Amino acid sequence: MMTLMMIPICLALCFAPLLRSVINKTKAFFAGRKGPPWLQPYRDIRKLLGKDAVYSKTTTWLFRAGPLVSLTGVMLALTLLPMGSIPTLLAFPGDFLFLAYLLAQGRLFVVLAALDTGSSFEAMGASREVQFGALTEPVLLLAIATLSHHASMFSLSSIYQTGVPDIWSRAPIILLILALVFFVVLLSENSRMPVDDPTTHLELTMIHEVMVLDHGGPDLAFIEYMQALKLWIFSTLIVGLFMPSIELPVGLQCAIFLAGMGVVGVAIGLTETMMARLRMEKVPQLIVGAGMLSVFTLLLEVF
Amino acid sequence: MPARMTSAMATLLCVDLMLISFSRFRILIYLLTVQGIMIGAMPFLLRDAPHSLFGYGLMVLSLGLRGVVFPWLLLVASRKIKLLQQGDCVLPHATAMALGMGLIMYCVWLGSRLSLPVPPMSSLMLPAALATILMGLMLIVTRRHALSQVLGYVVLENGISLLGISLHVEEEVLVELGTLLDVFVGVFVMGVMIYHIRQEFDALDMDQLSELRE
Repeated sequence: MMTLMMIPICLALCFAPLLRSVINKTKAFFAGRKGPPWLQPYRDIRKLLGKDAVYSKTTTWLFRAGPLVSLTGVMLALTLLPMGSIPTLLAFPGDFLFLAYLLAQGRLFVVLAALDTGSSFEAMGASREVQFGALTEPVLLLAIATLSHHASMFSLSSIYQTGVPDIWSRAPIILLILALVFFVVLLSENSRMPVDDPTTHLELTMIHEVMVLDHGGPDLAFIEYMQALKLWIFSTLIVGLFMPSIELPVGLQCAIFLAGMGVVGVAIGLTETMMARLRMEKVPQLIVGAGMLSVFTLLLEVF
Repeated sequence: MPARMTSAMATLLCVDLMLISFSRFRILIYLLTVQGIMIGAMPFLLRDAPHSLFGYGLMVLSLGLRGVVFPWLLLVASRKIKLLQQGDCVLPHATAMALGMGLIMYCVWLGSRLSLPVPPMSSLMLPAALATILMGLMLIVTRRHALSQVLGYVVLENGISLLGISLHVEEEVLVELGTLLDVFVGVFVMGVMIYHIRQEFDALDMDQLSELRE
């Protein structure tokens, strides 16, 4: 039983950086380039882990704690996420609040570490991160609350394992709209294209990347890995909506799940290829729009 | 069948919400097309009994007009006056969206309160019809440009037609004919009006008309 429960977590820990490769390869394909090799994110992390960290004299313990605490929080969040019919390691009523708080705690510590450096540039990034985070978080909670309401269940694993197939049979439109909402939340939380450009490292427009400018070596590796895991978590929330409800062998479920993650990766890559980054004041509109959609699905009483 | 109907109605409500929150005219036309096709195809989904040839022809006509002709006319007109990329809503984006959401909530509440002689196929049918009518009205009120107001008018008529379908009116042919005639004449009259306004003033912004003096 325990080994079975560990499978989704191991998959996440192993394949999370690969999801970034899928996005990069998709973007490269549409731009007519070859793109970085599939294992590049792993190599980056290994390279960073082999380096020494340099700490500025102005920083305190907060700066060192930031990457560690946020990585731990996100890893803990993995234990809550259901995959197909495999039972999760942790499940209790209301655990989606715990998930949201773990992600928020990760964000808080990255922001605190950025503020700790005393650089105004990083403080600006932190301010933007918090601004968008404050908008995205209610949307995420509202979307999960909608799922919970329609499924009449209160823990992530029961929502996804018994509630979602039930909603599919009654009103599939709810799940399709929620998948869209989760996708917008994913794009915003992971600094993907319409919200933030992950490839611009020295522009004034960037949000997430600017906060980690002062981190180096293992700290940066932790942050990179944390971001890959975060992307994985949000993609899991989407893929979970489309997992087949029938009882399948574990291997097949994993294969379907990984294929679904690949599809989400390609979808992110496509979005980034087709859309330009939104102007800063347009981003709240996108997020608020997604929030409205989830309020709307909450309204849909299915009789 | 009810699940499919609920999904269709939820999609229509979504389209309503998007109509109020998007400002670019091109997107509005796409949304209108989706709405027109869905509402035009609704009678085909609802009726089980075989249709008379006349009723059948009328449904096809309605589908063709709502789903193809009106959006196409609006597209042609907006291309001519190069409106496609502009937005013209008088309200800020978030306010318009919140207002639309509020209206939809109100319609869902109202739909649950009203009791119909024949209960509709889906509990969302009445809210969707009411919301479409109100959204059409909102579009007419909150948009500056004459062409967007025409679009709002078409949306409003779509809503009336959906209301007719959901009320199970006996003489559905009459309702259909009535609304279709309304819209068709309406669109043509407005086409002529817009042409004349443009000839006279070089602009279709209704705010400028309010400054006219005798």
